[in-house]
Order: sequence, then structure tokens, then C-alpha cells
Amino acid sequence: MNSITPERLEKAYAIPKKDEVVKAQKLPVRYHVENGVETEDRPEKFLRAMAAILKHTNYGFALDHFSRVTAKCARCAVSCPIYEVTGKPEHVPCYRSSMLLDIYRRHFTLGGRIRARITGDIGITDEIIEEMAGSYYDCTACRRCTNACPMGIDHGLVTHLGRWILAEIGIVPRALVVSTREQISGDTHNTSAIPLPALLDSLEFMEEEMEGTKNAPVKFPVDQEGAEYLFVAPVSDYMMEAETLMGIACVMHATGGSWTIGTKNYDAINYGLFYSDQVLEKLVNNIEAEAKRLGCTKILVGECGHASRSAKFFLNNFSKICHMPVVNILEYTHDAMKAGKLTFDKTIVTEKVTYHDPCNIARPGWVVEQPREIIREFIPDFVEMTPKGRDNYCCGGGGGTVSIDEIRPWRTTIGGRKKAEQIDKTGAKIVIAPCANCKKQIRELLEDNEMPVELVGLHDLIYKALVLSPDGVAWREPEEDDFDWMGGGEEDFKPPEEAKA
Amino acid sequence: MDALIEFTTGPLFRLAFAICLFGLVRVLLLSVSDIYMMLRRAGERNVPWGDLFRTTVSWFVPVKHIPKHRTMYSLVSILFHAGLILVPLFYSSHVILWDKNTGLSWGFWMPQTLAHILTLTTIGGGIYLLLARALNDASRHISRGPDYFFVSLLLVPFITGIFMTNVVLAANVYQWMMMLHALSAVLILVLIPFTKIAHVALFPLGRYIAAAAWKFPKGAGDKVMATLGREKMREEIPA
Repeated sequence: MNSITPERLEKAYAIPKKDEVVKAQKLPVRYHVENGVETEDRPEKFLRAMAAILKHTNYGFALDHFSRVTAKCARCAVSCPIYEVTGKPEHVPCYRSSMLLDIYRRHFTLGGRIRARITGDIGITDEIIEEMAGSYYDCTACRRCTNACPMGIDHGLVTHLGRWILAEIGIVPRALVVSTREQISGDTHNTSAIPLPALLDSLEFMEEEMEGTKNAPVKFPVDQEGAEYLFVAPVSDYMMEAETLMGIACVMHATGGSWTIGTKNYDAINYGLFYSDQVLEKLVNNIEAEAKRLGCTKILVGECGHASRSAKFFLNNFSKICHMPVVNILEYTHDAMKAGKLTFDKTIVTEKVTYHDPCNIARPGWVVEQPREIIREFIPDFVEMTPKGRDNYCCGGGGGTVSIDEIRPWRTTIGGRKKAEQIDKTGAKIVIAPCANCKKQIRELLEDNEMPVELVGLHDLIYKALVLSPDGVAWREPEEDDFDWMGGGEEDFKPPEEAKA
Repeated sequence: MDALIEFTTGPLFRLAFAICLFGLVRVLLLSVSDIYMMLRRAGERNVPWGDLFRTTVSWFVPVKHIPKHRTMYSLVSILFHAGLILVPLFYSSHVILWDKNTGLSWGFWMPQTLAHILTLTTIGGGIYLLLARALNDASRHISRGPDYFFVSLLLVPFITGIFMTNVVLAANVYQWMMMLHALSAVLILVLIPFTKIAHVALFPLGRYIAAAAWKFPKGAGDKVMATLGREKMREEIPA
């Protein structure tokens, strides 16, 4: 594993923008924002946006409580993967939260206003907004610090709110908005702008592939009305993680599951979770509408942490039509395995394997033991990272930061350092990360730190080890040509713009 | 001086205790009502009460949390809190004071030796916590004046208590120490509901408040947009 050299550090902290852009936008942050960001009267606009948000939401109650009890014990500092690496006081979670809590006390409470009269505290300034703009995207909102806080202060919630207020005054990473704009008002309604014909093509390719490797007629059902589960995966999986999807399809085939992909909405990604509750609501409503259109009664989410959390914890919260259960694919596969519906060949995966807990599904204690039980069922050499489960370290790409390509040096040098150290200590040759965002981040992390470890999804391995064929053979090596469309044959999967053209 | 001490440990103490008690009940009720309001406004109210209860209880006796982060700080903090809670309530003279002023009779008091040990651990612990706050980069950066002031104030009755219970130390200053002891205690009681020390009552509610705050009201984003006078979402406007 590469050490952190001064050169790498310099790159990690560097702002990849021209000075004149930083000056014009008055934003010394590492991520790009869209052109035309307003710079005049920011403090006033920030307060107006904050007032509107506090008026219509529940955040004010939480801010009031948090600012009343915060003990400033700094236990959160030593639980934060960013602070642990940088040691910089501005990366202490409690400090990050205190910026917003101070603004709340100063501008939104009677006591704060009186105290300001006496002390002459002017409150929010352009400098504080600039600091928050950087700080709230240094944080990956992994919420590990919340576990360490005796008072139960949820710094992830404060970051979540801070990002929304900033977004309301135009300060939001361009990478996030570009994706959600395509989902909400684009032609393809998905973050990667994959047109439907391209999706259907890739499904067909995968079906052919499985016919060969698994010797079984595994299908991806599309627009099957009346199916039990509407299946949504992060749409990038259809381009990047075909083996994950094929593994899922194999499990559904083995269990005889009633499921379907909807052609009106096949993207589970919800970056609204990372910067705007309004966007979050629109996107979960879209998934619900698709389920309703096809008459599905449950939502099945593929290997993706934030997409699972968005659907599980917010779909019914924002429900417009009906309430329905949300199931993560790891839960589904675990239940099927427990019910004896899955047979694995235990000789397929022989390397030492470790497992990364995606924060969004592990931190609430929702999906922690299920994947481990599945892994132990067919992988003999499994080693845990320390810490793990609810107390895991973030991969360094949480909170949507993984999609901000311009901060890759930050993510792979600072943000993911603890994860890289964890993986390195296990000595594993394969790391499983059942989350599209974690996969991208850990791949880049392994690459930039020159670590000879393979990164896969859990269903990638299930795809290989699950026995479907009547002759009991789990895996047939595909012909070389079969993989052209996946590995070296990227030309078949046009980048979104080209494909659209 | 005796009359002043009598007044401070009598009517003034009773007034301070009443302010503290009613103040804490007030913030407690307000917080519980906040949780109710949040859930009432939310689109969905499925809160993992049992899980939150178990986590909250685990922080009352935080043995499993100690080794994870800032071990020494956490350990000292527990000793500090133990003395802070137990000595004012169960030291013999205090038991009599509670009985006399409020009618609250515990029926027992802690052994003198234990009271002295706890007093010393609280003073030592408080000084350690202050130093750790000042010397640790992360702590220092997030701490403000009140964070140092309240810990220091909490130590005053303990330090004066040591003077009063030691014949040699108390020789010429007993009354002054008694006055300072009682006045600082009264001041602490009055400040509790209005400052961060309110966590004595609010501590168990933090996780419930956070969980309820993650339950969002339906349509809030659209209302925010309307309040801000915008007609379209940013995502609906071409770049």
C-alpha cells in the first residue's frame, strides 16, 4: 500500500480550479459547481433558505436539542476517518456541526439574538458559508461519529441539512446536480443517461452469457405486470457491474422469484439523499409510481447502500400512493439461502475474502449479519475487517462524494485511507462491497494505493458459485468472445452522450 | 455570616431547587413534545424504539463504549460524573439538607470514606477533563468559554467541601468556605436547566430526537421552494 507522500497530500488538498474561477464564484472548494452560482448577499440568502427549511421541516427541533446538550468531548473526532488521517481540528465532526448550530442559536433563538446584541456577534458571514461549503463535502455523512457521541448528536443529520441549505443558494457539486437533472427532467430518467434500448441490449447480452456459464435459462423480466417485486438497481451497474446483476438474476431464477425491471424507471440511485430533500422525495416517488404502474407490491433494491436506504427509510415516508415493503437484495438472498433454496459450490472461491459494510445499510443495523452468513456458506477463507458492522469505516466515497471525480485525490489519499489500511491488514485478495458507490471508491482506492486486491460485489461471487445447472456444475468458463461486451469491449456500451446521439 | 449561610442553605436553596426542578421538567416536556410534533408532521413514523432504548441504556453504563474512543478521557469522565451525582445526593450532611428543605428522605447515606474518595475523584477528574480539553487539539478547537466555565464551576462545591470536612484546612476559613460551597451549589442548581448541564435530564432523549428528525414531512421541499419564491427546481431547468 502506498504511503501518504507530501506530493499526494498536496494533490489531495489542491483546488482543481483556476484562481479566477474560485474568485468569481467566491468558493474555495475542491468540487465544481454549476456556472452562474450567485455570490451577492450570500449570508442573507443562506438565512432565508434556512428559515424556509426550518419552517417546513423537523430539523429545527433537532438543532435546538443538539445545541442544548453538546458536550464538546471530541470523542467524535477520533471516530472520524477524515480527522483520524488529517488530524486537523476543522475535520472534527462536532466542529463541523457547530458551524450550523451556532448559526441556529445566533439567528433563530431569542437567547442568541439577545446575546448577539450584548456581544456584538454579527453571526453568519461569507467566510463561514465558504467554510461550510468545503466542510460539508469533506464529510462523507457516514455517521460513524454518531455512534461515538454520548449525547446521540447526529452529525450526519446536520451535514445533511447543511448541504440542503447550501444547495438552496446554489452551492452544490455539479456532479450531483447533473445526475439528478437527467433523472428528473432528462430523456432517459436515469443518472447515467442510459437509453432504454441500450438497457434492453445489455439485459439480452447478460441472458446469453448466463445461458453459457450457468447452463440455465436465466431471464431478466421486463415490465412484467403483477410481479411481486419491482427491481431497481443503481443504473451504473448495467454498464459496470454486469456480474452483480447476473448474480442477482441467478438468485431470482433459483428461488422462482416473481420480479421485474420497469422500463419507465430502472435507476435506484437517489442523490437527493446527499443534498436536497425535495430531490430525494421526487426520486423515491418515481420508484413508487413505477411499482404502482406494474402492480408490484414490494421494492427490491440491488447492491447499493444509499439507494437501499433512500427507498427503505424514505419511500414510505414520502409515499403518495401506497405503502410497500422495501427489501435489499442481500436480505432476499439470505432468506432464500436460509430456506434452502440456494445450492453453492464451495470450491469456486478459494482466495482469502473480506467484506466491507456499506454505511447506509450497516450503520442502522439493517444489513450486517445477512451477507456474512451468505459468505460463510460458500467461501471457506473469510476474514473480517476491524472494526466492522455498525462500527465500520466509510470507504471514503460516501455522501455522494464518490461521484465527484475532481476530488478523487482527496478521496483516495485522505477519505479512504482508513479503509485502505483495513483492507491491507486483512491480507485478503478479494474485497466484497455490495454497493455501487463503495465499489467505485474502493476500486479507485486500490488503484491509487497500488494494492493488488480485487473488488467485487457479493452477487458477483454468488453468480460463480451458485449451482443452477441440472448437472450440478456451478460454473463454466465463458468463451473469450462472450466477455467482449463486458471487459475489453466497452465500445458496445457507448458513453451516455454518444449513445443518446 | 451565620444568618446568611442559614438563608442560603434554607430558602435560597429551596428556591434554586424549585427553579432547577421545574426548569428541567419544562425542557424535558418540551423535548418530548418536540418528538411528538416531529412524528406527527412526518410521512411515516416507524421509529426503532427498542433499538434506541437499548443504545441509550448502554450509554448510562458506558462500559462497552470506553475502550473505543479516548479511553482515558471516557474513564475519567465516568468517575467525574459518578461523584457529581452521588455526593450531592447521598453525602450525610446533604441527606439531612434534602430532608430538611424538601422532605425528600433517602433513609441512608453513603460512608464518609466513599464520599471523600468520590469528592477527590471528581476534583481530580474535573481538572483532568479541563486539561484534556485545553491540551487536545480537537477538543480545544471546538471548546468555547462556557465549556471551561461550567466544569470549573461544578468543581467549586467539591473543593470547598474538602476544606469544610478537614479540621486543619477549615481552621480559619470554615464559614467562608461554607458560604462559597452553598452559593456555588445554588448557582449550579439555577443554571442547570438553562445551560448545557441540562443534559442531566435531556441526555436520554438525544437518540430519539435524531431518529424522529430523520422522519421528513411530506412535500416539505416543494413548500420550501414556494416560500423562497422559486417556480422550478434547479433540476428542472436545463444547465
